[in-house]
Amino acid sequence: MSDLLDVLRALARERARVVVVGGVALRLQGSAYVTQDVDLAYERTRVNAARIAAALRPFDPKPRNHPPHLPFVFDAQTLIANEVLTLETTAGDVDLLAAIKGLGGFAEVDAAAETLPFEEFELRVLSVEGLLVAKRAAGRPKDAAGIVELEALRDARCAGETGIERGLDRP
Amino acid sequence: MRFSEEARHRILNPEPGSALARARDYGIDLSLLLENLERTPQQRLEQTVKMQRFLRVVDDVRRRAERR
Repeated sequence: MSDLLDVLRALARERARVVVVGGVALRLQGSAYVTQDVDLAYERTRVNAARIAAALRPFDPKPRNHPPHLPFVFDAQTLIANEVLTLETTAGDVDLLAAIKGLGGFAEVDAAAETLPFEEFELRVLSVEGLLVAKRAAGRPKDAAGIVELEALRDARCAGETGIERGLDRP
Repeated sequence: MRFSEEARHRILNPEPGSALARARDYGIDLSLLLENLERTPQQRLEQTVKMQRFLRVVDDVRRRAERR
């Protein structure tokens, strides 16, 4: 059975330009947040769309709640024509986002991301600061706990890097 | 990320008014947060996938129960 790791491996092999955002980014930054899907910001260029399509096609992506009798083609054009794609795949749910509220398009999201090691690959993952900007901009009630936790994570990481003399609180 | 014993103590027993104290008061488990920070990104990802597999099983159980 395929899983989220297979999706990330496939995207990395195809050298797709994506940034992990949302709940999985929270987890990668140290949060205990539980999520069932993976949210990815993607660069909406023809070359990159073709790479993402090639990477995800083996997982048979379809829009969630897509009527089974209606056709759906997942290709580069689909990725270019849409700003948001919420997909179910054989590896789990994958959301593809061309922009993130509070940050902007892929260039801005990528500028707020950091590189983390993943097996023989590297993952671009939204930073704690980037996640805070996105969650504050989203302004949803469900983000309140995430913001509190991210602020705590930022200071806990600061404590780990610098000892105990500074950074345990920031307004 | 490795934490010194002193840093661990300060994270688990934060100063009043700090972001860590606010998180604890909000109900966030600081020991879980510390445990996650001490994992590598790869370990955090694997843990996430384990949790997702578990949640899929839970969802299957719920769906089967609803069909009865």
